Amino acid sequence: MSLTQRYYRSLYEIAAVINSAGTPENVLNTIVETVAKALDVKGCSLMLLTPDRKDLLQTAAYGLSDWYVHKGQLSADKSIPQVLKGKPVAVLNATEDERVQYREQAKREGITSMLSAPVLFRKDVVGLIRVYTANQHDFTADEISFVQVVANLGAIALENARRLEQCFTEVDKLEEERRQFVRFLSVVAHDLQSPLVAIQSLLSYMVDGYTGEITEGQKDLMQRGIRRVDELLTLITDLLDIPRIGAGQLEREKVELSLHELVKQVVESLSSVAQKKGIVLKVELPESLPKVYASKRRLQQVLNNLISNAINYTREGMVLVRLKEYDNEITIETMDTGIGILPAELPRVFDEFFRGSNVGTKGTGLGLSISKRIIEAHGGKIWVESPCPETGKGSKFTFTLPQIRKLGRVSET
Amino acid sequence: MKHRPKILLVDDDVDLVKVMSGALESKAYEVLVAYNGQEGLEKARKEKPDLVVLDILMPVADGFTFADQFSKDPALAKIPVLALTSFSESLGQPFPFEVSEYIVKPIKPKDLVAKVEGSLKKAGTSQ
Repeated sequence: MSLTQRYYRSLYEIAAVINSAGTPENVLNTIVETVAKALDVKGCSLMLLTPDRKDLLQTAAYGLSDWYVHKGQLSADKSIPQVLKGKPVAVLNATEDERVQYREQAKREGITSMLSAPVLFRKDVVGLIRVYTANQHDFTADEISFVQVVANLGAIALENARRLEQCFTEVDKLEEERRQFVRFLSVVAHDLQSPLVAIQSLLSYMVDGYTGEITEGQKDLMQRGIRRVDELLTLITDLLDIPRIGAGQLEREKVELSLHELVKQVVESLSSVAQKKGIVLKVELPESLPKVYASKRRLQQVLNNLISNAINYTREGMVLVRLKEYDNEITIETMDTGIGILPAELPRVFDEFFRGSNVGTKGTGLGLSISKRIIEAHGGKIWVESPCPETGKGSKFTFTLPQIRKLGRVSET
Repeated sequence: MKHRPKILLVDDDVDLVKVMSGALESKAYEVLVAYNGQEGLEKARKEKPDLVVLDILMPVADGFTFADQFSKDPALAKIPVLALTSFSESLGQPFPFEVSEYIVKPIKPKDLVAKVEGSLKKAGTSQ
């Protein structure tokens, strides 16, 4: 292999390790080793300037004894100022040359000649790379330029590694801030809800007659109080929920689950409310459905929101919940024969704090926007039609969930 | 002789304790109160209640800590625990420890009484 070929090969190896995004240590060690082998010399080392630019730190070394590497502090003043100004410097006899700080130690280590080249990054010297020979050696122009090229590659590698490390630190910081925020929210939720919960229980205590007989009038007022506190409790829960449903935050809660069970449970829990209003609550389920990968409590929340909305905004008629499998997706529809949504307001239905102008002040105006966030965090879509195409009145909410297969998971069957 | 069931309430909220103890006392239960988990454990060891009503989120040894130590104590482990949880914490999340029953806050006194009766019946210590 010719000298040029050897240089090319070394540069190729160094470029490859830089590209592999290894640790900074790894990259620098590869650089010093490759240089020493390519030039067939005793050793090679890479030193970096400290932030105050007064000292040099041994960062990577090859072919040198530990003793020599740790011989002492390398002062930038004594260590060849010319290199630090940006020019390579060759020293023929390191054991005698005044420009070498540790001449005695070099002798003991068996070093004769030394070549130092600046590690330049954007015209700034950030350190130096040094080549050591055992026998006296006059470095050729080719060798000097080779070392200089490698030194510049090293600077790029270092900068890459530094940025990567910065990114990781930044990501860690953000993650920790997010965790703290969620913890903070839990405390806020608890502290805001506790007094309200107490007020409600005190009122219920009186309504239930534990403190003695109360009149119908008193009972009515207390029940109104209970309802208003209820509204406030729901609002607090909803408000504090929003930041907790961001992208990636539900991942921990996701499991394989069957929608059959979940839909049945929610419908069951709401059937008495529908019954009281004289509304028929019906479910249409296909015989079998593939499982979905989802957060159980969050899907429960969505189903609860959609079905109870349908019941709330329907005076008479029926509410139908229908599940379908379509094109790698599961579709869940909630249809009602209720008051529907005004055409002009349809695009704003999922906005935060939106309340239809035909529904008065019921609800927090957050339920649907939370549902939308939840469905999107599951890779699904949610939309509304009004009037419902099937019944010709009321509204129809549809959401989709990807099947497990589409998510790259194989089901057991 | 009829045994009067002993209920231990562990909750840091004074007003909730007032409501709960009032409702239970009206049903002739003997009610003991502890305002944090640590106090709750001490009272439970000393008094051996028939049932514990436990708030999950409390300062000084919360409900989780309480339940963990409670279930490790062979003298207490068989006593049924009725857990109180707020709506936002619950939503179908499984408890990290075994409870015989739970109530989602806000507590309606009548529901509490019904659940206490149910849990005691299940455990075979009804009045």
